[in-house]
Amino acid sequence: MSILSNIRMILSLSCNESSRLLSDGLDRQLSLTERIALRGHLFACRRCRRFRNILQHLRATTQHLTTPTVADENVLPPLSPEARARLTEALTRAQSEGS
Amino acid sequence: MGTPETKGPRAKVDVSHWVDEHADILFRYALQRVRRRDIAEELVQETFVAALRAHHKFDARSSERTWLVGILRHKIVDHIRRTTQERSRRGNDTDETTGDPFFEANGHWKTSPADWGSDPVAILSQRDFWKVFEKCFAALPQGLADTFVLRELEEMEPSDVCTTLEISDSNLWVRLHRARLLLKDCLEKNWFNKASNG
Repeated sequence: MSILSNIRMILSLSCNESSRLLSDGLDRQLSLTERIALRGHLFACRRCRRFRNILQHLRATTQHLTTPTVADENVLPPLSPEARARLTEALTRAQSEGS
Repeated sequence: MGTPETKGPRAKVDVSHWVDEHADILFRYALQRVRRRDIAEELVQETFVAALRAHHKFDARSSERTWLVGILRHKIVDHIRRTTQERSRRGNDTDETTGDPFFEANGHWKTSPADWGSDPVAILSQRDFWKVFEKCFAALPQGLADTFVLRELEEMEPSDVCTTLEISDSNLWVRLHRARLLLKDCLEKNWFNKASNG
C-alpha cells in the first residue's frame, strides 16, 4: 500500500473497516498500519470496543466446542435408538466379516 | 475407564461397549459440525467401522476416544470438502446478500453493538445460552457455517481452510467476518438484549 493510503487508513478508519480488522486479527497478523489505524479508532469508538469484546466472547464460546464433551449444558441430542441399533448391527456385521 | 485391552492384532473388540462408551459423544461432535442428524449418523457409523478395521493398528498411546475422534474429524473435513465442491459445481455456492445489513453506507454501525459483559466464561455454563447459540449457529448459511466450523471448531490453519474450501484468503476473511457478525446479531436479538437474561 502507498504511504498516502496508509495515512488515509490511519486517519479515517470506519467502523465497518475496524470491525473487519478486529475479526481479521483473530486469524492473521495485522500490518503495522492496520494496527495503528485500529488502535486509533478503538480509542475513540465505544461501539467497536464492544465489538472487540464480542469477538472474545464468540471465541470463548467456540473454544468450548472444540473438544467433545459430556457437559451438562450440551443441548444437542444423543444418537437415536434406531441409529444406535443400526450402528451396532453394522459393527457386528463388519466384525464377523473381518474374522 | 474400563475399555477392553487389546491383547494382540486380532483381539476382538467389544462392539457394544464401544457404542455405549463413545457413540453419543461422537454423534454430538459430528452433529455440531455438520448440522444434520442423518449425515452425523452416517459419519459416526463410518468412523466406527473404519476404526474396527484398523483396530490392530491402534497402539493405545492415545486414548481410544481421542483416536476415534481423530478418524471422525477426517471424515467431517472430507464431507465438507466434498459437499463444497458439489455445491460449486451446481452453481449455488453463493452466500450473497444484497446490501449490508450491519453497516450504513458511510461505514457506521446500523445498530450499536450491545455490551456482552466482561466475563465470557460465565454464560457458558447456562443451558439456555447454548440453546440460543445452537439456534443461531443453525441459521448460518451453509458456506459460512462450513468456514466457521473448519476455522473455529476444528481450529484449522487459515491456509488449510482455504485449500479445503478452494477459496482465497481474502474470501476467507470476508466469510469469517460475516459469520461473526451474523452470530453476534442473532445472539443479541435472542440473548443479550433480552431483559430476562443478565
